Amino acid sequence: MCVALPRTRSVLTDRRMTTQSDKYNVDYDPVFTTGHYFSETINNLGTAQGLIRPVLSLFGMHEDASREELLLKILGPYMKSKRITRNIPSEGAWKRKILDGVTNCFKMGLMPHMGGETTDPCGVQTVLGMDVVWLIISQVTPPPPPPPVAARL
Amino acid sequence: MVPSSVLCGSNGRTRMVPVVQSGVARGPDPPAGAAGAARVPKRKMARDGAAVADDKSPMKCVTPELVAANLLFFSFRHCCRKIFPVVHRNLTLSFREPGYVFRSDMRSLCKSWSTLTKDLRRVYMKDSDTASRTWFGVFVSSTAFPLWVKSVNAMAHHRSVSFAQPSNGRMVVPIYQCIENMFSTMYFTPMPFHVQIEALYVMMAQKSLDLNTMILSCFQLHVMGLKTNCDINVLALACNGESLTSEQTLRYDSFCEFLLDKIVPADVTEKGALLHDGFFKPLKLEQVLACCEFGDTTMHGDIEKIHAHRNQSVLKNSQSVYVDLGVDGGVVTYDVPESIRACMDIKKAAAGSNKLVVDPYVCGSPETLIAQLFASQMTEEAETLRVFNQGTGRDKCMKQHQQLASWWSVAATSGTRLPGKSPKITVLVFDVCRLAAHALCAY
Repeated sequence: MCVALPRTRSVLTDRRMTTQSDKYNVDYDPVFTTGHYFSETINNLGTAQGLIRPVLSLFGMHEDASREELLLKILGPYMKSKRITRNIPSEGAWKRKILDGVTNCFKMGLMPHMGGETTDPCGVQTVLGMDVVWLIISQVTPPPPPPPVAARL
Repeated sequence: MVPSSVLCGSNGRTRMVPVVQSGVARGPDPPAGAAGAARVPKRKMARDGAAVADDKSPMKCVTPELVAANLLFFSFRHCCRKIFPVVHRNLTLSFREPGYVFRSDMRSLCKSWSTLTKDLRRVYMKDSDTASRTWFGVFVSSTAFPLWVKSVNAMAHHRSVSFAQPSNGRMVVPIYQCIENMFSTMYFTPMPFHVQIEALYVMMAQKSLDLNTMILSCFQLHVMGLKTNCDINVLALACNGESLTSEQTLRYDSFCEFLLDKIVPADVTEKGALLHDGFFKPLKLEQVLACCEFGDTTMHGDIEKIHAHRNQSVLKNSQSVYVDLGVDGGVVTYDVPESIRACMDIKKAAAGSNKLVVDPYVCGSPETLIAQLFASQMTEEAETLRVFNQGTGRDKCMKQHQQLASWWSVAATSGTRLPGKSPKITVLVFDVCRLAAHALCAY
């Protein structure tokens, strides 16, 4: 072994494999239990400005409209017809324009969890936040597609 | 020399048919009758049995009766697959673009598609150059063009059938005219708009749009408890002050009620779904790891400081634009996953004492670490522990739409074929070369 292996580069089994049989199984986690799946999806979607811009135009709004204006535009007729008076948030990011190129459609956050009787830290709370603009856009459904040509035949 | 054999399909089963040995002239067939009957029957060889393999599914059998019953369809398929490819290749017909007319063409359609789906495309098509190459390469040549051929064929056949004339008691269809029409259309006419739209739909649904965006959005909306959606045209009509039908009004009212309750609840004491800014304040990697060490009482002071700093937004009532999932008690991690525990151990170890490296997909940045913490809660075990810790009896009245693990395991994996539990991948371990008998024999 001392002579043959280094001189002829004959194959040696990896000594870390200590299984008795001649094979072992590799298990992978489901993708939705990996953080990489969520962070990749969130980063890939980004701000979705390509879709939000024409939607604003469809709603009869300018490109520099803020979230407060959008919410008032959508909920206004409803609140008026039902005689509801509630204040839409109007501070901070609610006043900034929607197409600022910064605000992602999804964002994850964290907060230490103080629970129990002693109010000591006992866990970590994580949140998946969805931008209200994306909430409005993602819940719409497109009209059904036309049947394909072959099916019509 | 053993005569060679060829494979021949017959009724879905593969059988071996012996052919004449090369270089030997085949004699005339023996005459039928007495001489033919006297021929020695072929001996059944063992390999004949082995040659009949059941490893193929039965092929579709096209019989004359089937063709006679569906003449139009088979003529259409024949034109698409036999006549058209030969003529098209020999004439080297190119893709005809509309010229001197004001209409949508492939370039303008590509620009609209590229702009609209800017952030919604799959990762490999996110780059605009790659998207453009995919459009003019894969999309135009293998998606739009075949659809156009099928469309032209279908229209030509329909037209020819409408010109069928009775002759000698039979209906005669001008097939020659049909094929002539088909080729003149292909040669002189650019692709019609409805085919472009149909091809675009196929492209967007199957190739370009990122399915994970849809999955994540549906997950959020489902857990939030959205029951009825409102179409975008209805929202646009309402925003622009147009009148709505009764069904549209129902949808619009239902969605507005849902949205208003999430943002500004009717009851002032009730907590809305809007998250405060403190959740999204930037953190360092070490701070996130410190938050995960809630089991260590010596770290409680640091964690409380972080909590107090992030919780200031609640006191200021500074609301973000992000809406929470709304799970009762929150998505709280009570048991730190193994991957993060390994990161903590590696970070704690003295420099050079541990040769293991940190997994960049878990501990590469604070964002990946938070994402890993969140994702670890999407399993049945984590959900059971969370529900148990958040109060006895809650599991009995847990809302169905707030069961995160079941959504992923049922809706996502079976509905979209998102990879769930992977099949076991077996890796063979080979013996040491010098111990193998084969190596000795070879020597």
